[in-house]
Amino acid sequence: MSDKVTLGTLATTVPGLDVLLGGGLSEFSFNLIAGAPGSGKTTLAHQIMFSLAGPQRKALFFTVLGEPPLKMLRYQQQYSFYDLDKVGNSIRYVNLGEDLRMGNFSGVLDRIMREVEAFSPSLVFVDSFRSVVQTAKDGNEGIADLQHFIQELGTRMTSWEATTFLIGEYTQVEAEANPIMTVADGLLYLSQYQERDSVVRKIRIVKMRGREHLSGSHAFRISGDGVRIYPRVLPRVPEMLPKGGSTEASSRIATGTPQLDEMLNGGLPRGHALLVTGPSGSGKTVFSTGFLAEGSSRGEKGVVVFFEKTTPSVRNRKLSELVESGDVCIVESRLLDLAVEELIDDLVKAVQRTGATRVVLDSLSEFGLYLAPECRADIRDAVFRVFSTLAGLGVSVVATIGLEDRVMQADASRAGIAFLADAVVAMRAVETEGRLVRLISVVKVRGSAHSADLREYVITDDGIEIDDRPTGLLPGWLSPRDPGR
Amino acid sequence: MDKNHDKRQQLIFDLLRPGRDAAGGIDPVRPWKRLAAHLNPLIGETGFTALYGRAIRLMQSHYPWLAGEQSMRSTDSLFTNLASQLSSVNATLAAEANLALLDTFSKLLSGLIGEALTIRLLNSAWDDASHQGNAKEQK
Repeated sequence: MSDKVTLGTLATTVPGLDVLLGGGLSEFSFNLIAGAPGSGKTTLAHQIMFSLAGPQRKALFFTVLGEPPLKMLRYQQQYSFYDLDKVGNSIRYVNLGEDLRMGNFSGVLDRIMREVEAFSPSLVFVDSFRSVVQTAKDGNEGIADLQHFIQELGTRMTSWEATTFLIGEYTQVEAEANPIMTVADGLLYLSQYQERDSVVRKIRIVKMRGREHLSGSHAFRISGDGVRIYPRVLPRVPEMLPKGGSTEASSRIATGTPQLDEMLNGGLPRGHALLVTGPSGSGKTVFSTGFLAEGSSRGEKGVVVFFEKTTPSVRNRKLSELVESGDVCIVESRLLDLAVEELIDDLVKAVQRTGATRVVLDSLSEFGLYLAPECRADIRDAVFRVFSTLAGLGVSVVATIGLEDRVMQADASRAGIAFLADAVVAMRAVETEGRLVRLISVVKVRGSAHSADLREYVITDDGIEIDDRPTGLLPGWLSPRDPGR
Repeated sequence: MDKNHDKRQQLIFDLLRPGRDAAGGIDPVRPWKRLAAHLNPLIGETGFTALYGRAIRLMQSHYPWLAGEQSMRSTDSLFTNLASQLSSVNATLAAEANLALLDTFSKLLSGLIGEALTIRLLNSAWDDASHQGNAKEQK
């Protein structure tokens, strides 16, 4: 048994925050929530307060010269976490504006301590701490006063066994250079990144003493339920997935196109992400719908994400029937500043809610249009995270991607995305004898043998129908370049 | 909402009922002091005086004699002013105006922070008032 002190953990239950904090906040810690106006500091502080406060863990919220308390009460009530039953008994608001205007730091400190002693809170919030700091006199004397005040406050609050949050309008550089930082155990920095017309909110745990916290910036959104953070972490791949190369029937799934299953050496390995590439009109959505319908006929649920201007279910009868029957759930976004983590979050929730085993992403070509420009810059990174998360869920995935109509080029490695997929099926079209002929081939299947055929196929009302034999249309030999050209 | 509105009005009636001054008469300012004691820590004295000023303004057409100094910053000076204004008219009119002013003030407050929180605050003020009243009776 270790004689070292054990840090108590306060799990905030703010979605995603505890993952960043390595489980939660350290009990009795002295924290700064910093960020520009409008970055969500007061909302996050309230959400933490309402989540943690109760009869056994009371909270005191000091308002200073920042947001007028009347307005704060008015607006914070709009969030679903704002539990009026806690106000008064478990949560008390105290306005320090007058004390600050009238007196000096020691007067403010005395008032804070009087209130703390009277109410015995375990959680103390000061919003906005910047307005306290701004009352410091100019010059060295003022800075010394301020440092003394902060140190005194930090020591007293920790001795009082209170977990403290100072909320302040600081930019990251300001916050890191501020005397508060030497005293603060934790610094949560909130910001808004704007690129073109899109804004993405980000949170960063700059410092959190005694906790193995996640570094880096993580996207978050504020809705009627408050702050929801989307940590940038990859899940573990479940162990129940079959080992590579297995051709046992239980380790393979039917794609809904029997001839393709044959080319795949018995179906798609369960848990694989299959990338289907092809030009416009090659039948990618038809194939994807068949993949979901096959699952439905076997009692499996499916989730489909569409990145098109209108949901294909409007025009795709088979898909709309699957949706109406409840076998397929559609995940759609109407936002154009999506952080990839938000999509992942929606996907995970849909898969977990429905128990889906099959997921379709249609199509990755338009995916980038929905992402905030900041995330759009690296679509490969976004797709990698989506695929990794889905792999963690153990679902089998069909993702489509459109290619330009270069009939003689099978550009399956577009944007490096093909390298992220476990299997790649290429669809293409060639012109011959005055008509377009569609061709399909299996480019890769990780850990499994597969057909190397290039086969003709047609799109029918029942889906994709592939020839049993390789096409004779393309000779496929290599010829030296004509030296005369 | 109507139910909450009725509850708020009932609480104001209750708040006005128990207050008595040293001479045994009704102290019309006492409910205000109770309210200020609960509201000031929450919304600050500035918030209280701003709301009070607005309530006075809305009541001026009915009770022109309530018009007062709008720039007053402390609740103490507001209440001293109110006491002197109420004592300048007959008791019935003073009681009616005081009730209307409290109702308007609490209506403004509930418009800003909601009926539920306003009722909680009035309840707390009433509880304190009744506790103090009981303590006096026991003496």
